[in-house]
Amino acid sequence: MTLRIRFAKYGALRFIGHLDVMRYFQKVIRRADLPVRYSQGFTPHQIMTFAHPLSLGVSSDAEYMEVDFTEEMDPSEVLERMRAQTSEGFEIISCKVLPEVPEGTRAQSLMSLVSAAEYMISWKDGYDAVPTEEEVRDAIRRLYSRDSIVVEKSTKKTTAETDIKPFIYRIYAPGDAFLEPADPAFAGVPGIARVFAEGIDNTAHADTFENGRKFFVCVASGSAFNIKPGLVTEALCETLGTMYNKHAFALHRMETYKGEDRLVPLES
Amino acid sequence: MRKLALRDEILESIDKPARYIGHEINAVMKDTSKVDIRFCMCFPDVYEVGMSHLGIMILYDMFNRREDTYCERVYSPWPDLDAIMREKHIPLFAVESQDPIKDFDFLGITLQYEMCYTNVLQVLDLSGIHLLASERGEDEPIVIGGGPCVYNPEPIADFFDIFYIGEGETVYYRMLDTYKSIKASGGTRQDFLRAASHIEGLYVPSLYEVEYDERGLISHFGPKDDAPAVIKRQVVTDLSDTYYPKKPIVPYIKAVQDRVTLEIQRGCIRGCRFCQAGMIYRPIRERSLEFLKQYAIDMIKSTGYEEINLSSLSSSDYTKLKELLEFLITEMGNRKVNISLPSLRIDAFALDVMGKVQDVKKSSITFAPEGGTQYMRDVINKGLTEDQILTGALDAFKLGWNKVKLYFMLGQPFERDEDVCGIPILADKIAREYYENIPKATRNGKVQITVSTSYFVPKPFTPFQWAPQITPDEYLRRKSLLRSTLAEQLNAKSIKYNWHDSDTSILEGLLARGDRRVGAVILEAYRQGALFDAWTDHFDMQKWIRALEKTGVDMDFYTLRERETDEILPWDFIDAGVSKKFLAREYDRARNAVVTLNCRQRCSACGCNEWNTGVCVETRNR
Repeated sequence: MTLRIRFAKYGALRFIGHLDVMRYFQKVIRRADLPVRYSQGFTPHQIMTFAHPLSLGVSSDAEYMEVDFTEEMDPSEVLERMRAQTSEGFEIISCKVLPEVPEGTRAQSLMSLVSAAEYMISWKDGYDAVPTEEEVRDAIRRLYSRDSIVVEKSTKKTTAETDIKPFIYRIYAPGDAFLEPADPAFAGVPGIARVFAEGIDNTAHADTFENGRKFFVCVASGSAFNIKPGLVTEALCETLGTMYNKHAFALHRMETYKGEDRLVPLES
Repeated sequence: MRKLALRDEILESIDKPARYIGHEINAVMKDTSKVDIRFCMCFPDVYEVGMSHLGIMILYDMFNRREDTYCERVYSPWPDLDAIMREKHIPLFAVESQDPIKDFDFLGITLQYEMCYTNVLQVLDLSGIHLLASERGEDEPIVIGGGPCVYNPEPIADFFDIFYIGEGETVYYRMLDTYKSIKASGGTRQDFLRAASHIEGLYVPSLYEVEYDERGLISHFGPKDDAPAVIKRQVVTDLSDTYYPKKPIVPYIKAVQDRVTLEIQRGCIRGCRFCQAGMIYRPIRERSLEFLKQYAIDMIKSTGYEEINLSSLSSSDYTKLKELLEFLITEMGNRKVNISLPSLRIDAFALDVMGKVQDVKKSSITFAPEGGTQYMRDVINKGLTEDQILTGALDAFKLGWNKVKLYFMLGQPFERDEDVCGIPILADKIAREYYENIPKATRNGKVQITVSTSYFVPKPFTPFQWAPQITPDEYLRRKSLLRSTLAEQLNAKSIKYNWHDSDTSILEGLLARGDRRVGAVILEAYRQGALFDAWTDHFDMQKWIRALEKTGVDMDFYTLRERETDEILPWDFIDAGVSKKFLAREYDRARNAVVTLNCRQRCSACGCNEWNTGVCVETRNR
């Protein structure tokens, strides 16, 4: 039996790296004494997979992992037992049984399912140049109306100019309607049409700031295309005419999606 | 949500920010307004190293059992954060409450190796505590040192208010009670230090004076007034009825020891003459099998660790090792917990156990003969014969092992060139056992033998405490001799040779056997920028050489000089259990290459039987 578990990561534990998060949950499961499946060999390890690594410093309400169990478990019991073993900074949100895969086939890995992730990006207090709400709204419209949004995308070895516009699936200011390529306002503007299954507001574990300024963006994520939300922020700052300082923004992952044309939360 | 001492921007800019955020599983959180005493325990090295130390875990648990005390932790900030803290004037803080160390009542620093001394100064400095104890005011924490290095605390005596000599489980509570009552009655720092000096095992260096003669030797050492002349080492007499954490802290990032540690016994019966641990932790005391079984399960449950490790000196001497390992193999196997074995004496039993818990193809067998010839092994009293090594290796080869690790020291007293050459010859004999006895068809590739040598550093409270350390040049000569002899061996291609750096070891020699005058060198080296000296990448001998020049301290006086057995040694005021007479007798036997039997074979009257515990009682009952 495989369970897909959704959890939040926040506060001081934003500074725990992805590999350490995996190690952490292996210990949570051991302390909760849950009957999970182990690999064979001299050093058996738990069969556990994660959806999409979160960058250091980013909080999230939408982290996902899958765990294989050796026996049938009531997901609400698993939820409860794991909750009893997690510390402040992690919260188990939900636990769902995955349908059995037909004999002879393999389930698609959680990691390869991921197609997009949505973030809330907040201006932190204590830094210069917090724009007004109107300025942010206006900049988003101007940015997204452009035919292309070319940024410098750097990997460990190379830096290349990339048009990230096709990989921004929607972008919006608080209270605004979602801006997406399917929006009639953007008729004729190139972009890949995506339909969202539902509106989301998963910001329970995000840090809040006095200035209240923020925007939301959904970008392509996962193994096929991956756009760091920081790139969008940088482009937005350029549109605003302000210097981009990565430390001046708090990033919070609101949802991780699967699907191509129709994006649905990994949870569903 | 807890407020962190470091802003996000800093945490986002440094390596492994999780080192500084605390809040690990099983970390103790208390309301700081509801305690009388705040104690911060420090391991002066990076978090991952410090978190691997059992001693701190024991004391952390012990202190926090008191309702009136809150014990927290601090480690050395890594150089990246160190620079930021200095630039932005951020005071060093404890990981639990994130409060500045300067606000604590005590800062307890464990001294596990001499090369951490500049890190001690870093911790004091970043905390805003005066480096010199003599300059500290009423509002600064009492700085207390413990651990194996305090068996010669003199080189760092200027930086500490108190040293705790011996095992922490015994008189810390008494010290805390004394502190609390003196604080309540409005007493001063000096009042407390005077009272502390009368608690057995506590050494308050400021209450003692040293005089030197014209040759630079100590002519007088003693208390200034009524402090005791001798400081007696503290010993736990019943290890199955004392403090041990059932819920050790589990770090978020991978510590060096990423596992549950089960201390099975303390002390050692062997009496190897180079080994300080084998002398200062006498007599051997075992924890009961029932205690260990219970703790193993409790700790695995409370931490979720996937591995358990047995800790002790010479683990093969634990009398119930077979029962313990059988229990653990079954119990931990069911829980999918790996067993990390301590180094065992290679025999049929050890190989059987190793074969059960390790992958024979990947693991190696280890011998630590420490000396290359039988003569040398007799000099150092290492009761390991060539026959035992060859038989053990062959048995292992037959069971499928083909990797062997061998550990030696160069520069021990009375070592001759032929003993150095004996090292590669022994390694070659092991290789021959493999090629001559293991049929080609069943071989798992070539035999892989790794020989490592370290540069011997004489330590206080060992029979070699009077011996000269060899010079770095001489060490390098012996290393080259070893290498050229190795090249001549038949199976040279199957033998890899690693050697230890010479600069670190000669400096360790200075810090290990120095007196109070060496403190100035440490302070100056720190001012020159020396830090993380135990880390090869960070160690810079030039800084130390400049410090030696500037302070005018002659390193050779401390390292290369052979001491007379009637000389006043800087650490003579400590009663560590083993008597000076016994150590001198052992030095003499080393000179004559005479072996001394181990504690279970015959009592050598080392002086530790006054505690009436452990092996001293075992043998008497027999």
